[in-house]
Amino acid sequence: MGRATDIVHGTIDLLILKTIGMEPIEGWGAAKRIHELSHQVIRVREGSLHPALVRLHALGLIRPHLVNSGNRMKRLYTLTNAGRAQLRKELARWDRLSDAVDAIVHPK
Amino acid sequence: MRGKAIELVQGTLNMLIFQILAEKPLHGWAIRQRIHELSKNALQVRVGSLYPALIRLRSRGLISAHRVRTETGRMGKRYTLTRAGRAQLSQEIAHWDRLSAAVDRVAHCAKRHANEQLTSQPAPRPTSVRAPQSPSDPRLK
Repeated sequence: MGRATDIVHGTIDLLILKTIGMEPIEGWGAAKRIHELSHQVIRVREGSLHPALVRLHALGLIRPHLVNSGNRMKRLYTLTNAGRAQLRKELARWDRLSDAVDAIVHPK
Repeated sequence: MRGKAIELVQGTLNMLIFQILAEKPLHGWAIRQRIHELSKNALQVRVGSLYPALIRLRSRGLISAHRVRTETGRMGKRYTLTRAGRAQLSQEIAHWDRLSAAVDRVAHCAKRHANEQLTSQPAPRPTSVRAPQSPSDPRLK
Protein backbone atom coordinates (compact mmCIF):
# COMPACT_ATOMS: atom_id res chain seq x y z
CA MET A 1 0.00 0.00 0.00
CA GLY A 2 1.14 3.60 -0.11
CA ARG A 3 3.85 3.01 2.40
CA ALA A 4 6.82 5.18 3.16
CA THR A 5 9.15 2.58 1.81
CA ASP A 6 7.43 2.52 -1.51
CA ILE A 7 7.77 6.20 -2.35
CA VAL A 8 11.21 6.47 -0.83
CA HIS A 9 12.36 3.36 -2.61
CA GLY A 10 12.20 5.14 -5.93
CA THR A 11 14.25 8.01 -4.54
CA ILE A 12 16.99 6.15 -2.69
CA ASP A 13 19.56 6.68 -5.45
CA LEU A 14 18.76 10.39 -5.49
CA LEU A 15 19.11 10.68 -1.71
CA ILE A 16 22.40 8.79 -1.57
CA LEU A 17 23.92 10.60 -4.56
CA LYS A 18 22.85 13.90 -3.06
CA THR A 19 24.46 13.30 0.34
CA ILE A 20 27.65 11.91 -1.18
CA GLY A 21 27.73 14.94 -3.49
CA MET A 22 27.73 17.24 -0.47
CA GLU A 23 31.03 15.93 0.82
CA PRO A 24 32.98 12.67 0.81
CA ILE A 25 31.19 10.48 3.30
CA GLU A 26 31.04 6.91 4.58
CA GLY A 27 28.02 4.79 3.73
CA TRP A 28 26.55 4.84 7.23
CA GLY A 29 27.26 8.58 7.34
CA ALA A 30 25.17 9.09 4.20
CA ALA A 31 22.29 7.19 5.81
CA LYS A 32 22.65 9.26 8.98
CA ARG A 33 22.67 12.52 7.03
CA ILE A 34 19.53 11.51 5.09
CA HIS A 35 17.84 10.77 8.40
CA GLU A 36 18.86 14.13 9.83
CA LEU A 37 18.11 16.26 6.78
CA SER A 38 14.70 14.64 6.38
CA HIS A 39 13.95 15.54 10.01
CA GLN A 40 13.95 11.86 10.95
CA VAL A 41 11.25 10.98 8.44
CA ILE A 42 13.42 8.84 6.16
CA ARG A 43 15.46 6.00 7.53
CA VAL A 44 17.67 4.17 5.06
CA ARG A 45 18.24 0.74 6.51
CA GLU A 46 21.44 -1.22 6.21
CA GLY A 47 19.59 -3.72 4.03
CA SER A 48 18.80 -1.02 1.44
CA LEU A 49 21.90 1.11 1.91
CA HIS A 50 24.47 -1.54 1.15
CA PRO A 51 22.91 -2.89 -2.06
CA ALA A 52 22.37 0.70 -3.24
CA LEU A 53 26.05 1.57 -2.67
CA VAL A 54 27.15 -1.58 -4.48
CA ARG A 55 24.84 -0.78 -7.38
CA LEU A 56 25.87 2.89 -7.64
CA HIS A 57 29.52 1.87 -7.54
CA ALA A 58 29.00 -0.80 -10.22
CA LEU A 59 27.33 1.84 -12.39
CA GLY A 60 30.39 4.07 -12.01
CA LEU A 61 28.40 6.80 -10.23
CA ILE A 62 30.30 6.76 -6.95
CA ARG A 63 33.87 5.90 -6.03
CA PRO A 64 35.13 4.62 -2.69
CA HIS A 65 38.40 5.93 -1.27
CA LEU A 66 40.10 4.20 1.60
CA VAL A 67 41.31 6.83 3.99
CA ASN A 68 43.48 6.40 7.02
CA SER A 69 41.67 7.57 10.10
CA GLY A 70 43.48 6.97 13.36
CA ASN A 71 43.49 3.27 13.97
CA ARG A 72 40.99 2.32 11.30
CA MET A 73 40.41 2.71 7.60
CA LYS A 74 37.46 4.78 6.47
CA ARG A 75 35.77 4.09 3.17
CA LEU A 76 34.72 7.50 1.92
CA TYR A 77 32.54 7.78 -1.16
CA THR A 78 32.70 10.59 -3.69
CA LEU A 79 30.67 11.21 -6.84
CA THR A 80 32.21 10.56 -10.22
CA ASN A 81 31.47 12.89 -13.13
CA ALA A 82 28.83 10.42 -14.25
CA GLY A 83 27.44 10.45 -10.70
CA ARG A 84 27.09 14.23 -10.74
CA ALA A 85 25.27 14.07 -14.08
CA GLN A 86 23.03 11.32 -12.72
CA LEU A 87 22.28 13.37 -9.61
CA ARG A 88 21.09 16.28 -11.76
CA LYS A 89 18.89 13.89 -13.75
CA GLU A 90 17.43 12.29 -10.62
CA LEU A 91 16.73 15.71 -9.10
CA ALA A 92 14.90 16.85 -12.23
CA ARG A 93 12.95 13.59 -12.30
CA TRP A 94 11.92 13.87 -8.66
CA ASP A 95 10.79 17.47 -9.08
CA ARG A 96 8.77 16.53 -12.10
CA LEU A 97 7.20 13.54 -10.37
CA SER A 98 6.36 15.34 -7.14
CA ASP A 99 4.97 18.39 -8.95
CA ALA A 100 2.77 16.17 -11.12
CA VAL A 101 1.50 14.13 -8.17
CA ASP A 102 0.89 17.28 -6.12
CA ALA A 103 -1.06 18.81 -9.00
CA ILE A 104 -3.41 15.81 -8.91
CA VAL A 105 -3.87 15.37 -5.16
CA HIS A 106 -3.98 19.09 -4.38
CA PRO A 107 -5.96 20.54 -7.29
CA LYS A 108 -6.15 24.33 -7.20
CA MET B 1 12.90 20.70 -19.71
CA ARG B 2 10.58 17.86 -20.63
CA GLY B 3 11.77 14.37 -19.97
CA LYS B 4 10.23 10.98 -20.50
CA ALA B 5 7.02 10.17 -18.67
CA ILE B 6 7.69 8.76 -15.22
CA GLU B 7 6.28 5.46 -14.19
CA LEU B 8 4.59 5.50 -10.83
CA VAL B 9 5.52 3.27 -7.94
CA GLN B 10 2.63 1.24 -6.60
CA GLY B 11 1.87 3.28 -3.49
CA THR B 12 1.64 6.49 -5.46
CA LEU B 13 -0.45 4.85 -8.16
CA ASN B 14 -2.99 3.65 -5.57
CA MET B 15 -3.30 7.14 -4.16
CA LEU B 16 -3.88 8.65 -7.61
CA ILE B 17 -6.49 6.02 -8.47
CA PHE B 18 -8.38 6.95 -5.27
CA GLN B 19 -8.09 10.64 -6.03
CA ILE B 20 -9.36 10.25 -9.60
CA LEU B 21 -12.26 8.05 -8.48
CA ALA B 22 -13.15 10.53 -5.73
CA GLU B 23 -14.17 12.93 -8.53
CA LYS B 24 -16.47 10.37 -10.18
CA PRO B 25 -16.75 6.68 -11.07
CA LEU B 26 -14.74 5.76 -14.15
CA HIS B 27 -13.67 2.86 -16.32
CA GLY B 28 -10.12 1.60 -15.99
CA TRP B 29 -8.96 3.10 -19.25
CA ALA B 30 -10.46 6.45 -18.28
CA ILE B 31 -8.61 6.45 -14.93
CA ARG B 32 -5.38 5.99 -16.81
CA GLN B 33 -6.25 8.70 -19.30
CA ARG B 34 -7.19 11.10 -16.50
CA ILE B 35 -3.84 10.61 -14.74
CA HIS B 36 -2.00 11.26 -17.99
CA GLU B 37 -4.15 14.31 -18.63
CA LEU B 38 -3.94 15.87 -15.16
CA SER B 39 -0.19 15.35 -15.01
CA LYS B 40 0.24 16.81 -18.50
CA ASN B 41 1.73 13.47 -19.49
CA ALA B 42 4.49 13.68 -16.90
CA LEU B 43 3.19 10.51 -15.28
CA GLN B 44 2.76 7.26 -17.04
CA VAL B 45 0.53 4.42 -15.94
CA ARG B 46 1.10 1.16 -17.70
CA VAL B 47 -1.87 -1.05 -18.45
CA GLY B 48 0.15 -3.83 -16.85
CA SER B 49 0.30 -1.89 -13.56
CA LEU B 50 -3.19 -0.40 -13.58
CA TYR B 51 -5.34 -3.51 -13.82
CA PRO B 52 -3.51 -5.53 -11.16
CA ALA B 53 -3.77 -2.45 -8.92
CA LEU B 54 -7.53 -2.22 -9.54
CA ILE B 55 -7.97 -5.91 -8.73
CA ARG B 56 -5.99 -5.54 -5.50
CA LEU B 57 -7.82 -2.41 -4.37
CA ARG B 58 -11.15 -4.03 -5.13
CA SER B 59 -10.30 -7.15 -3.16
CA ARG B 60 -9.47 -4.92 -0.20
CA GLY B 61 -12.83 -3.19 -0.47
CA LEU B 62 -11.33 0.21 -1.25
CA ILE B 63 -13.00 0.45 -4.64
CA SER B 64 -15.99 -1.37 -6.10
CA ALA B 65 -16.72 -2.35 -9.68
CA HIS B 66 -19.99 -2.44 -11.62
CA ARG B 67 -20.46 -3.81 -15.09
CA VAL B 68 -21.94 -1.18 -17.36
CA ARG B 69 -22.28 -0.59 -21.06
CA THR B 70 -19.92 2.09 -22.36
CA GLU B 71 -20.89 4.77 -24.90
CA THR B 72 -19.40 2.58 -27.60
CA GLY B 73 -21.79 -0.21 -26.61
CA ARG B 74 -19.16 -2.47 -25.05
CA MET B 75 -19.51 -3.93 -21.59
CA GLY B 76 -16.89 -2.77 -19.13
CA LYS B 77 -16.26 -2.30 -15.45
CA ARG B 78 -16.76 1.07 -13.90
CA TYR B 79 -14.98 1.67 -10.63
CA THR B 80 -16.27 3.61 -7.66
CA LEU B 81 -14.42 4.70 -4.54
CA THR B 82 -15.91 3.08 -1.43
CA ARG B 83 -16.23 4.75 1.95
CA ALA B 84 -13.16 2.83 3.10
CA GLY B 85 -11.33 3.99 -0.02
CA ARG B 86 -12.19 7.58 0.77
CA ALA B 87 -10.74 7.24 4.26
CA GLN B 88 -7.67 5.58 2.79
CA LEU B 89 -7.25 8.46 0.33
CA SER B 90 -6.90 11.11 3.03
CA GLN B 91 -4.39 8.93 4.86
CA GLU B 92 -2.39 8.40 1.72
CA ILE B 93 -2.33 12.09 0.90
CA ALA B 94 -1.13 12.96 4.40
CA HIS B 95 1.52 10.32 3.98
CA TRP B 96 2.60 11.55 0.58
CA ASP B 97 2.83 15.14 1.84
CA ARG B 98 5.02 14.13 4.75
CA LEU B 99 7.33 11.98 2.65
CA SER B 100 7.64 14.20 -0.36
CA ALA B 101 8.47 17.13 1.93
CA ALA B 102 11.16 14.97 3.56
CA VAL B 103 12.65 13.96 0.21
CA ASP B 104 12.56 17.62 -0.84
CA ARG B 105 14.45 18.66 2.26
CA VAL B 106 17.28 16.27 1.40
CA ALA B 107 17.16 16.76 -2.36
CA HIS B 108 17.23 20.54 -2.16
CA CYS B 109 19.51 20.94 0.80
CA ALA B 110 21.97 23.64 -0.21
CA LYS B 111 24.15 23.21 2.83
CA ARG B 112 27.83 23.01 1.86
CA HIS B 113 26.80 23.94 -1.69
CA ALA B 114 26.69 20.34 -2.66
CA ASN B 115 26.92 20.37 -6.43
CA GLU B 116 28.67 23.57 -7.37
CA GLN B 117 31.50 22.86 -5.00
CA LEU B 118 32.22 19.46 -6.38
CA THR B 119 31.78 20.34 -10.02
CA SER B 120 34.18 23.26 -9.82
CA GLN B 121 36.83 21.37 -7.87
CA PRO B 122 38.33 17.98 -8.43
CA ALA B 123 37.20 15.35 -5.96
CA PRO B 124 39.36 15.53 -2.85
CA ARG B 125 42.30 13.20 -2.97
CA PRO B 126 42.35 10.57 -0.30
CA THR B 127 45.12 11.25 2.15
CA SER B 128 46.23 7.67 2.12
CA VAL B 129 45.17 4.54 0.36
CA ARG B 130 47.60 2.28 2.15
CA ALA B 131 47.22 0.54 5.45
CA PRO B 132 49.21 2.12 8.28
CA GLN B 133 52.77 0.94 8.25
CA SER B 134 53.71 -1.18 11.16
CA PRO B 135 57.19 -1.09 12.72
CA SER B 136 57.82 -4.53 11.27
CA ASP B 137 57.39 -3.13 7.76
CA PRO B 138 60.65 -3.94 5.96
CA ARG B 139 60.60 -0.53 4.29
CA LEU B 140 61.09 1.12 7.67
CA LYS B 141 64.22 -0.75 8.51
